[in-house]
Amino acid sequence: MWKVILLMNLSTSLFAAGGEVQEPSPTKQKNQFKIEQLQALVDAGKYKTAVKKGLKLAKKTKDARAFNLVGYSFRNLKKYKKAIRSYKVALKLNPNLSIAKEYLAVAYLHRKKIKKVKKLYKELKVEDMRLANMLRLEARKLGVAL
Amino acid sequence: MRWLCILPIMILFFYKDSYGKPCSPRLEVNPRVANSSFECTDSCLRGQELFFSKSLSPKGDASCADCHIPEFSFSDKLQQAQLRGRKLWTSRTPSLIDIHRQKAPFFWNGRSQNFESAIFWPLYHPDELDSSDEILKRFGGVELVVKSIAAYLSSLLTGLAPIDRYLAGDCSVLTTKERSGLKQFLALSCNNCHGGTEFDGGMHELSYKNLPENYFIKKEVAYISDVALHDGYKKEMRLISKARSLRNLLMKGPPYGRFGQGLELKEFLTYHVWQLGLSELDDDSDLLEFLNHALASERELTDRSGFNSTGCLNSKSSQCVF
Repeated sequence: MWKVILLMNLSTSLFAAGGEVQEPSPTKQKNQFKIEQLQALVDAGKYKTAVKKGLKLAKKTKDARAFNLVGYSFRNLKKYKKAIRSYKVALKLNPNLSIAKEYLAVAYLHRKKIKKVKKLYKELKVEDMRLANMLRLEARKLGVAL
Repeated sequence: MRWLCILPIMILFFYKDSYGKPCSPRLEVNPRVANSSFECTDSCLRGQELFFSKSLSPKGDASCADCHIPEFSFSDKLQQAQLRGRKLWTSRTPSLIDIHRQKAPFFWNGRSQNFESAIFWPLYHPDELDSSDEILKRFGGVELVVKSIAAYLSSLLTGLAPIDRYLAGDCSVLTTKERSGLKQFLALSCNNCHGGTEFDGGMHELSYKNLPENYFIKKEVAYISDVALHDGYKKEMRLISKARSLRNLLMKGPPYGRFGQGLELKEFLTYHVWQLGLSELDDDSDLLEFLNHALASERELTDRSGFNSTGCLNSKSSQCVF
């Protein structure tokens, strides 16, 4: 009898585990909230506010996505050196953040460092073909064939 | 002998619903739970005021409710969103009904992973409210504004639909045609994308054709899901779009689809079947019957005139369940 009870208890806990969706921690949720606020500011073209908020967030959380968005904002403010520095920090913190690689390549495009762009394009083709296509499009707009 | 007694108990235990045998055709989904004791909190009331307020925009000329019109199920019934008399480059305005119940990501291109922070986009974007932290400070700060509006949006709930009673074991609630529609729904694997209690899902790649030229933008690509929209005008292309909830479709539309491609549900179904590369649907398909009736909240079936647009503004204790 005890075996049956044990089996039923085990099944109950398995069912419970299967149905449960793990909630991210409050800190992670807050970070996600702030990152999305930053992304919305960037999408709205409010780059100066994005840089101000982003730098504060990036320094506090060391979140690669924040550095990446700060880089994007700097690039759109035509501050390419600062943009490249931000992307590099983002990639150091999270080498798998391929979008930062694409953005870095676009910054290099503006700085006319085509060798570096081509190297990153090669890497992106392996990591994510869609990001490689995004880069190819931007390069085409700037008159560079990849 | 002892096992013979235990076996039926175990069979019952392993059934999903302890109070009824699953109906056939069987759908592996949990029914909605009735939300009968909802109360609009102070935050929800503040959110409602903000939702309708034009003061969030710098010139006082736009509010959330200008596009998410309560009488139109918090959408605008337009093929392409419009604000201040100008067409926006964005996709169709989605309905906000039951938005809180839906799975992330949010927006057609899935740019937000979080229900609350999704509100930042329309707040900040110059084509939408064009608000700023300075303006939002007057209303208690950006975080308070976003959380209050989110609390209000969480109150825009529809009630149970026949499918919920069906899933709970009341097999007679669906007509023969609706059951046949459910069978088709399962045979076409619609539930792979439109799954779970809300019949919604994540991001899926779909074909699109004949989109108006003003959807194609020259700006830098911001989201992978939209790459094809930045690659110059094309008659046909592939985009990655959010699978919206199939509940209360008649209430939320027409038009249907990310770009309002279908003015009527039947027309959109034909288009959607093409988008997925599936074989054509029969003209007398029961799938439509299933979508129109089995997934429509019961209140809507009896009262199609819509719902109270003032929601829970007047009284704290009034329910916001439509």
